[in-house]
Amino acid sequence: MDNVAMNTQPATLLVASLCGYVIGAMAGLLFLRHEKLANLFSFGAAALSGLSGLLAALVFLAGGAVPLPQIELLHSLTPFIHFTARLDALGAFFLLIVSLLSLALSIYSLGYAKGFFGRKNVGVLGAFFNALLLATTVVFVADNIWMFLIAWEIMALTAYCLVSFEHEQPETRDAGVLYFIMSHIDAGCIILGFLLLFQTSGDYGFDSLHVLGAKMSPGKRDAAFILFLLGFGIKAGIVPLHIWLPVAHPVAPSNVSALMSGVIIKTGIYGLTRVLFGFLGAPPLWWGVTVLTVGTVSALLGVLYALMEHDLKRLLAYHSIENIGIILIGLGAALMFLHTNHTVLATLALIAGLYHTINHASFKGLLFLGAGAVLHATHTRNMEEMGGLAKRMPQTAFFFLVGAVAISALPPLNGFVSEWLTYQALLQGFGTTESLMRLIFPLSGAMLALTGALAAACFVKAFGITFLAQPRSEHAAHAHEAPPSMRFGMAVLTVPCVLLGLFPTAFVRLLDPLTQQLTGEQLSAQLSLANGLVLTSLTEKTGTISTLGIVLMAVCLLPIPLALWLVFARNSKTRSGPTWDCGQRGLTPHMEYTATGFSKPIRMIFKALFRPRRDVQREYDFSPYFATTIRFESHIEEVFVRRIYRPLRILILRVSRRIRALQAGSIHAYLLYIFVTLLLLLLFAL
Amino acid sequence: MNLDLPSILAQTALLLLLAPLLSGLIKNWKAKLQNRRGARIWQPYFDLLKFLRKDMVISEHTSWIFSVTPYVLFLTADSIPRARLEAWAAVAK
Repeated sequence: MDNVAMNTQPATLLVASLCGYVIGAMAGLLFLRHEKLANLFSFGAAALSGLSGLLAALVFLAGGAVPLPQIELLHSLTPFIHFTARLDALGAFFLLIVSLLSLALSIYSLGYAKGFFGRKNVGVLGAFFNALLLATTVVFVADNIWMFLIAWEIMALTAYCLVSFEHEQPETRDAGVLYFIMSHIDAGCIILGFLLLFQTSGDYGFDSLHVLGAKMSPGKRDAAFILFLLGFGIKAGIVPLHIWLPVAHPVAPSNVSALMSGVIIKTGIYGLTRVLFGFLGAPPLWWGVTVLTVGTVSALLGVLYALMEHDLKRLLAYHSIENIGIILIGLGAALMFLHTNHTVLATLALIAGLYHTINHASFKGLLFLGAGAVLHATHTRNMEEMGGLAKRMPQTAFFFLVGAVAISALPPLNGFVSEWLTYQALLQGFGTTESLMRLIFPLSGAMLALTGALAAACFVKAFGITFLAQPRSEHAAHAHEAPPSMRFGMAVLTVPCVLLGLFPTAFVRLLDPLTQQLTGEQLSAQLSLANGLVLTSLTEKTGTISTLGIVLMAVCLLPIPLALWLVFARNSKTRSGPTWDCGQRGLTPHMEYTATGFSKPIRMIFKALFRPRRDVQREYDFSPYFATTIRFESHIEEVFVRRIYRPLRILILRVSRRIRALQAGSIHAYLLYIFVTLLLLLLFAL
Repeated sequence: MNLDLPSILAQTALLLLLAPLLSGLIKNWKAKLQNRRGARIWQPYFDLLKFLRKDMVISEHTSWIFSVTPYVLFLTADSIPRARLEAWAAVAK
């Protein structure tokens, strides 16, 4: 393939993908009254665009990220403001994520959206879905502050419309409003941050912002760092700015939840990576410490609150906070290594963080799609009303299990590889001379280990309570397998979960141009041993792992149990019978382990954090030991809502009430205000 | 320690073959300490053979997870400890 072809192919594919989303959105609006056509054309177009974007990103990254020409939109309309887009290695990596999810989710939506037929307008859903994907893709390829901010805002607005798609329920409306408020606070912070950068650069293009931090005064640089961390942090859902995430993700339609958890929160990671590693220049130590601490706290609190949840989608939403935390641990460690000029270690930590970003997108997308299929079949999000679904929807159970194993970081799937790399980066930081780093890295590593264990426990609960044992409700008993398109959508997302787990060295090679761009190092050669079969962390001594080797080993051993079975158990019979009930007749679902019961030990250990409120009412006739009815209610409110957000809301309402007195509705008062303002302005002008 | 593929497999097979013996030894010594005569140290092998020949009754409430799990457990218990793969590196060379 000659150089020119390499150069133009990704650009063509990218433009095709963007046009596809536009066509998909148009098709949704065009067929507002024909739901079947709207469904087919809008989600079909989105799936094809996703495929095209996926190919664009892969060809671009595999070709070594040869710089592409800049695309300029609306050149003549806006003389001073340029809307430019250009694909670079970092953008291409995130384009890969959004396109992968777009492909899988759109195929899934073809079946999922049928559930809305006759009830909601599928055309509107398809149009907003495509618009959101378009805006997100543009965020990743924007090459200019204007383009970036406009795409960012469209993304926030379309996501708001999708979250409040089922706006008949008050819960959904409240969640939508909360998301709207939070996403505008984040947009405000980001605009302020970019204005600070613009003050120094005097130009809106991203080129002019490159390593701009060196020219800025330290105070301004720190202010910009804080603003960007707040802004992108809200989008990413870091603790304590995460409160919108567990509220907004569950109420959205499941394909949208998967998109939000898989991609939209990653735009925060994208922004942080681009700004911190591209624009702000050599980081002071406290930036890295802040990001690492925030990441560690998010990871731990995210998983702890997830364990307490029995709403399947809220549980997954809390896990998104946890995984964003793990990604930020990687990024924070990279910043600290950059501060001490360990660029190789910084690159390792950065690879770990970004690797986890694409991993989280694939398995969290998969899990949300699985949850959507369960929701589709049982019409409830409450795990306590599920159970026995592995028998009724075996394929969905399999896909959910793959996602659960991947997110629990068990080998040989992808979550294991990225968490292993994160541990390696943290452990090697112990060898540096900076004493703060020697203290904070092991601490963060220990917290990460605790997080991993709790996450595994949480998914034992999520899978066990949802899919195993007897159905706990009528709905669960009559559940049916998801339609083929939904299963196919889930199958598409299991592919990266497996491939990224088995062939990490091949994937790290794709990241080479990216790390070259951000830190100036390429590590794929150093991370791979034995023709890519074994992944190391820089040297053979520090640690090696081969997920492929584990699988090969298992395959080699498979003949043993099969041979034992063939030799000895050939003549034995297998019967199916009722579960042994210890002589008491009739096993009922009431005797099963509940989600709340499963997490009780952890609730007790972390009582000081959770402060569970429980309410037990018992009625009895003659003795409390023979109760006729018992009602148990347990409720946990997040510590941040209790301590920060509720007092803040009360304060804002109180101040607003005071201010309202100004607007009394009397025209005389208003005339007075105008007069006073005029006087003040005149005085100011003097 | 530089291993090649046949010796990894041989080691695994040996581990599997000797594991019941260890259990038998422990049970035997435990019995001796409690002033009982105890079963032969080979008893776990006979138990395993007996169990393998037995019919199975599987609860009607179980799903495919129940039938797959024993195999998964057997394979992971044997392959994960061997995941430190200097050995695999040697194989690929």
